[in-house]
Amino acid sequence: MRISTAFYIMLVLMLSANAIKAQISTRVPDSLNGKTLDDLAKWTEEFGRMPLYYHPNLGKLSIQVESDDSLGSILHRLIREENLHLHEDPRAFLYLSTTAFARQLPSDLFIPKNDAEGKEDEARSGYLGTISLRGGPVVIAGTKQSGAYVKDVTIHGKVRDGATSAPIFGATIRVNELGIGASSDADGRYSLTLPQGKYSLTIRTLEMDPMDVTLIAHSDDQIDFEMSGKVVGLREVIVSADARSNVERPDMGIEKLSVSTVNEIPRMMGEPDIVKAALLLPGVQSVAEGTGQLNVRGAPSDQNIFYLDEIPVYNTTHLMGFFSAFTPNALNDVSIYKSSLPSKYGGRLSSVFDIGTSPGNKDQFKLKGGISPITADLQVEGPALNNKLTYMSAVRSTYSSWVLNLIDAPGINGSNGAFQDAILRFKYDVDDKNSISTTGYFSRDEVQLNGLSDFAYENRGASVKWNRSIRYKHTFSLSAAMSNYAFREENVQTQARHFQSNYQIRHIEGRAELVLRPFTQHTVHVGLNSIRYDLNLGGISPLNAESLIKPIDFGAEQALESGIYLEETWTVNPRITLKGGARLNLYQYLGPNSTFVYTDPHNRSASSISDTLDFAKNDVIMGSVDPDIRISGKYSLNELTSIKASVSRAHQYVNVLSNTVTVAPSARWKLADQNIQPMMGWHYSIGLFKNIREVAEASIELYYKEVEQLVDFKDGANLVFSPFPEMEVLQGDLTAFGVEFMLRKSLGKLSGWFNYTFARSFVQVEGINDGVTYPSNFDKPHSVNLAMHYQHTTRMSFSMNLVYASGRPITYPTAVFYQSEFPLTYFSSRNEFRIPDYMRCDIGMSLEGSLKAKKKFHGTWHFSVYNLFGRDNPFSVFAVPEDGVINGYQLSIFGSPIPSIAYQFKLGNYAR
Amino acid sequence: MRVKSLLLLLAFAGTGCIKPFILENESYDELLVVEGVITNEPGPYEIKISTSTPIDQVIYHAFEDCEVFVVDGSGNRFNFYEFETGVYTSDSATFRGQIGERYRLHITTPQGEMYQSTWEEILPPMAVLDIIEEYQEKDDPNEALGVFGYQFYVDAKDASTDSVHLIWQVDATYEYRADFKIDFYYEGVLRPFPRRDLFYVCYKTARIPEIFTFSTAGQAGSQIRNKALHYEDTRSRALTYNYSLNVRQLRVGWQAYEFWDELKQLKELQGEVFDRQPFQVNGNITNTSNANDKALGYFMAAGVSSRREFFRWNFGKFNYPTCVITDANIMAYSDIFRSAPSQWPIYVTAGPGGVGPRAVVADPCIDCRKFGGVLEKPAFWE
Repeated sequence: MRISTAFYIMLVLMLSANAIKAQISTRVPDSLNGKTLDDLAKWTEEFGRMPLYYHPNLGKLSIQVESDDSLGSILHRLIREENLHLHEDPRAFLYLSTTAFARQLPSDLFIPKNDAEGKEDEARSGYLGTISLRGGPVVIAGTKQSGAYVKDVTIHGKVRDGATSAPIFGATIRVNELGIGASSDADGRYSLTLPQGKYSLTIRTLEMDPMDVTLIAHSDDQIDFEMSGKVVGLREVIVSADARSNVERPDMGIEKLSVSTVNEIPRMMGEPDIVKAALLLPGVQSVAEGTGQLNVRGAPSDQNIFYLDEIPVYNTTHLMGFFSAFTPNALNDVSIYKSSLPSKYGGRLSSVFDIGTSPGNKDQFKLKGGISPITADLQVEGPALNNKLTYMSAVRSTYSSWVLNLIDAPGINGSNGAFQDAILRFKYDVDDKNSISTTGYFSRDEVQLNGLSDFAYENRGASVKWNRSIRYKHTFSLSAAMSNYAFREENVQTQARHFQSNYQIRHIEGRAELVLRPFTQHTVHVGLNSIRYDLNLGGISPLNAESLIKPIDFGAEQALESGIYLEETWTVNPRITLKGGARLNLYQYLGPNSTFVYTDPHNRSASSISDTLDFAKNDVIMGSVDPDIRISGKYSLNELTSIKASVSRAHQYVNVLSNTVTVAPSARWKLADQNIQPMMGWHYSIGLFKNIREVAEASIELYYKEVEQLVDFKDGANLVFSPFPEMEVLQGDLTAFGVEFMLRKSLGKLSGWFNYTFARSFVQVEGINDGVTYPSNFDKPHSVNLAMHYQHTTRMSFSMNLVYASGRPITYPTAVFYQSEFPLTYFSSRNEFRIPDYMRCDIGMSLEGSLKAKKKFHGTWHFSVYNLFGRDNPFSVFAVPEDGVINGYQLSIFGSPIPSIAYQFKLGNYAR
Repeated sequence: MRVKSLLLLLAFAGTGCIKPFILENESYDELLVVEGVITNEPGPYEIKISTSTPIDQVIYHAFEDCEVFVVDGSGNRFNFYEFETGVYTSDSATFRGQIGERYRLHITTPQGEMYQSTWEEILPPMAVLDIIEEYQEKDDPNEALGVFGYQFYVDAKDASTDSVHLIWQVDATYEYRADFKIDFYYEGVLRPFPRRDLFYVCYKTARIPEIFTFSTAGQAGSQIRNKALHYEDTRSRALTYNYSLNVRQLRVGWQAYEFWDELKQLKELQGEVFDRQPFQVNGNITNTSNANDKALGYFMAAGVSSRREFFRWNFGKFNYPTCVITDANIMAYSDIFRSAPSQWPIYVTAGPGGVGPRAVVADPCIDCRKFGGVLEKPAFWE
């Protein structure tokens, strides 16, 4: 059964008393001779799902079946003899009525119930007989006959974009009378179990008009919802699935960004960047401008994981952090889990960035692309195999080599930097219960720094996922994903020591999950996943015959990280929803490998090695079984206000080795082993969520998190050349806490959001900073973001960002001392000082081409100025002894305004 | 990966900048600083004791009146005496470092604070094979034609297969000349200068203010080839005549090497995107009477070998500022007869050949000592 906002129009136009189609020519068995209309209806439903609707008073009518009688013959006879009217709607539903059917819409069809009361006319009452309308379209699930002996009804189906047929992720279907609901998954699928009865549903989703539907639930059935886009001016700058779901769902710390939202944000150098746009959200910070790493709620960037259609991506940046490594036109949205991570995600303590790609258009071939000052991209999508298969492919490449060649500056000549990325996705609907989707991903960077080094790094990944709907009520999914990140460098900086180095991490993951909806108010996720890590730690080798470098093989590491989990969401009543999950992690650090045993495990050095242990292939060198928990709950104070709380515990078995301000592409990942213990974190949060007259929402969240066994580098650690990283790092504790306030307005010509975050983050490690607690690199106490979008006309819109953040901690020079006759600087305690605060203002304007629907080509111009006031925000501060004095300098990446123009085009004119 | 990523980033953005920044100086603590090395070379050896200064006061602040002595592994004590403020010197007659012996420094300050170093051993020295010069041109945004000069390298070799950790102290000595000779001097009466080239030729010796370290750990064998030292260019008078380098190569233990290598890394930090984060470099001196007190610097023991080489620059392309005689200099000559006695003697030149108009020029143009050199030719000078 398929419902859209145009349902009535379609229905009335197609109703016809003589529209009895071929299916009605089906032979009716003689055994029904002399039976009642009820018996015939039961048979028709069982045979070919052809529901027959009629007034209950007609149910006892006797029917006559002659030899080889067709259903049509029987019904015609019945109509003639009983003076009835028969109609078939586009869904092949049959209606028997004692009155004629309406051939046009009732004039007050869309008038709210209160206004329409007492105005029910003959046309309406005759139209559906037993159905009384209440506001929106009516949808009937199942039939009365098939629902005669059931109590609970499960409706399932998909939520789609009416314009593109693309599934919509994160749509909420709320049963207003019960206070329960469901949300759609990445394939747009939803499932909702509720008692038989009549309900009003509200379907809300990103960028679409809310949709109200009256549901008459007889028995299990499939119902697809097609959402229509909001009118221009209302559709953009929405960061959560919808305001009400933010109040109603039990989860906390979830943010969502759609690609169309990102498209309206002022751009840096013309590139829309869905990952960097996350920096405008509360609790998401970056150590410094121009870097690619995100720090969520005061945690290191290696405590985040990025999934692109189930593919884990280990380096999400291009050009060392300038841009994100995802083809913009290929993306749909990103969901960010900052706390109470779903139980299915293990292995990270801080956050999950779940990036969804565009699923491809089911209706027709489409092409779009874009040109910015440094890149060009192209995307195609469309259906195949009788619309059972959809495909989407997008590629992007720089022409930065050409740009750099135009720059005549010392140090730049001979240097180069280029990148490419591509995403390919297929989705095949086997039948209405089964679908298979697969995604491939590739990104690559090549950089030549004249006279210093050439290096390249790339991500390669693929995933395949099978979704199966079980009795349209439960879902089962099975997926496999592979990701490979590789780095290679040729270093020619020091004569006679030219070397090449390489590094690689491979992540292979399998996952199975069953989502059960056994009762109306319970949803259970149960599943398991397993990850195989293979790290080629690479090594150093001489680049040429003249090099004196001795080859060093850093060896390899491998581990298996598995987990089983069970999570239940229980809607206790319309006010209270509880969610609890448990996850059991099994981690095994595997051979072959040789490891050191240290006399003092907390002070590992070459001099404290007491033994060397050798392990054969697949020997378990270190094993760990660690339980995680996820608990959250929501209590609604009223329909528009709720309070929530959550607590979670998680483990992480891999971390990045870095002692630079921002993580370099060359930074190696390291598995937990017998010397470097797995990290464990607790995360507590509580929040108040409020909707303000359906046009705005406000929230305030407080959080406190602790991480044990945090890995931090020793003073002076050499993480590049050391084959034994455990000697270069120490482990300690991280404590972070803060409060996030968010206010956003989604409707109206002026929309956007404002947020303020107070956050602190501290580290304490024995052996670093004399064991005294110090602020982490990403401890930024205050941050404020304002993002606004103004839809001036249907074709022209303006946007602006204002960003403020406290300066990050830094280790300063504090004293001068002499050695070997010249002055040297002595530095403060770690991160004792701060660089100056960060402020920035960006503006943008988008100008659409003609909005005619029937056109072959549509273009949009995007004008942006990044850092409008040219504020030279310091990236870092450093000191240089010069002519007998110590001079301080600040380095700014963007010290002046950066204007840019970008152009996006598509064949035809459609919403996305 | 040592990434000069900033260059690329700035190229893309075209907007990056480096500008002066006033460093805060609120948490300054004065710390004791120690520097000294015991070697296999004949003494006397020096221990320099000073204190740190705030970053806006870059001066050497000697620390006097300490009791300083060194003990060896056998318990023998060798006292050091303060002949110069903050410089404590051993008795060369009674103390000479021995290869394979270990030493520890002890200091007691006038305030009664007691410091000591870790044990440091004199390792066998590694021979310096050669010092090599190479002509190189470099880009410089302030020089339209670029910069020209010599890049110096050092080669060294050791038969040992053990890892060798080295520190180099490089002293450059060069001959240079003033722009003009003195033809007359005025002290109330104008007289011919008795020796017109008296202040014309100077010799200057200075420690190259860079840290050079190297470790053979991570390479095959203990050979060092083309280890880069400093770059000397033609924007000073250093390469105008003879140029000599004395490379003093100290073989030290791993801890001492790390200390100097970390200082070197910190000195090179430019705030880059992928720069290592700065940190406190602590030496091997601890306060035995107050664990909360820190001391800076490193007391080393080293096996030392040295080598001196002379070099001549034959490529011209000098780009240092020189003096020329202008009308103002000639007019200034007439003013000397109205000068006050406090300004005497006033030197007068008659140009390069001594036959031109008489002129009074700035002192550095006529007295090479004003550039920091001395008139005495070094004993090693060729």
